[in-house]
Amino acid sequence: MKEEFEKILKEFENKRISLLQILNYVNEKRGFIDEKDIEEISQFLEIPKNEIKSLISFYHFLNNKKKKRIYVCSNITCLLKGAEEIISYLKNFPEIEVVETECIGQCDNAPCCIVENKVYKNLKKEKIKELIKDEKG
Amino acid sequence: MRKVKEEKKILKNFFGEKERKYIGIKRALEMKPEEIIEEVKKSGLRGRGGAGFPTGIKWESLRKNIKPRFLICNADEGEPGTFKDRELLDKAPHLLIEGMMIAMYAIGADKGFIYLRKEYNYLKEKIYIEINEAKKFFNFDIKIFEGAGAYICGEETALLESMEGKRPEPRLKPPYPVSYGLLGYPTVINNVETLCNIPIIIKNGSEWFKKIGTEKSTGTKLFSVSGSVKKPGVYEFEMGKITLRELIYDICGAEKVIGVFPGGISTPPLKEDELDVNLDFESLLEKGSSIGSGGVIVFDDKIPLIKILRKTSEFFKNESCGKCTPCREGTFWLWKILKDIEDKNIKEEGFDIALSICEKIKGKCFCPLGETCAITCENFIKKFKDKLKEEI
Repeated sequence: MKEEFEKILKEFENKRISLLQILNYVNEKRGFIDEKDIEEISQFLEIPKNEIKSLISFYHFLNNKKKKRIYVCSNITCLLKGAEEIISYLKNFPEIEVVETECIGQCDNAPCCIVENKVYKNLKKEKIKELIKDEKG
Repeated sequence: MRKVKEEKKILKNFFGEKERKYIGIKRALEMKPEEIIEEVKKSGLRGRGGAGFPTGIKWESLRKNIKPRFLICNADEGEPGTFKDRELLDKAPHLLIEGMMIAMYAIGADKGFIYLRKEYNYLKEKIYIEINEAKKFFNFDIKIFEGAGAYICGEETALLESMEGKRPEPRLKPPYPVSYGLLGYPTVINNVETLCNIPIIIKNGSEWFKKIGTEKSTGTKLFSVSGSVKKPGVYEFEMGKITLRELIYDICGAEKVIGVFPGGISTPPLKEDELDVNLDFESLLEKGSSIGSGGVIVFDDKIPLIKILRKTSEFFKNESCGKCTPCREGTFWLWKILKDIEDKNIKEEGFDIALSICEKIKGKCFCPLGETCAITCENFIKKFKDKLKEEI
């Protein structure tokens, strides 16, 4: 991973500005950021571990658990289009952590969700089964 | 559906003529930087992110004689109900890149960043293709900085903190980013739609641009309409030439309407009988609301109003950064009492408590997040009181 860190640092030319980009990279690459990653990033950028942890807890899309996350929008437009039903249905799948998130900017295709940067629009119950199968496969 | 008059047609300034790109930047490079700023000032263009600050004046007030200086495009469109910037990034990224290049030349910026919200990560590649193509002809340094999911990062000083790898808590203003921005250097931060207007202004001239819209709200505006309408989507209209009623009924095919958030949930809702308002900065302000980000959310009675109200407060509670007490505690307790009303743990006296909490938040917050929460919820309760009481 260090090579990739170097690449990001070279692109953004500043350790502080690179921090969030490196966290995003690790989170995307492995699906979560654990204690070991934090240690490595902290040493590489010379930024205290606690500061890094406080960022991970702040942002919705940074994950410190191994479980795969599905971000379902629960904001007003999606509520009007039946997001609650979708969310309670998704809770039937223990292999995925359902995170109720705020507006993801797909209101014209509500209800909607994000799994690993991929946006799923106009969600229906039948679609979800396939979605979960896809994500597992 | 009634027929829409000719002058109220949906415009295509942003999503037309893709083949004629780079005309604006070529013309701009023949001008002096001051001349470009003057042209933008004369055009009367106002920021499209919500606050409506005159763009030319922002550029002009950038601290002089200090290097480096930065341009940041705020593409952290997080306002619920807003997806116009997504549409621009998706269908017209060349306009944004051209607008950024012109802006960077005008303000003498060494580097440009696009702060892209994580939810739009799938558009990153598309934008990079456009950046790389522009690089073949022009010498500009533009990079995409990826967010990680936080509404508060749309607030410009929180965005700067976020880029600097700190917790995105807003800074005290002044100093404004134009004098103390990214890493302490002068920085201009503009919204996607604002920057997309720049090549159009330079290409056609400020005189042409000024003729569109009203005297104080020049140009066109993108509206993203969603909720209880048949045809949700992004529509471009001349400022002040169409009413909210025409937009949601005639263009988007709404049938039953209880109320509308005209510019995302940070703007107080309007009741069905208040919809005859022109869509521009001033007219909506007169109605006690705001054009905001142009995120029009239409709601009917398919779900209880108390749920919409509770969700509104819940959004701000979830997205409060926690820096200042009135917002952190206020939005929490406001949400708590509304949730109790929804769950029928408390009767209508709960609304009086909610209103008193709003009163305690207003005017006491560090940044607009808590403030808008209180104002929106207060207006919502006052305007829909009868219906809310009926429900519980």
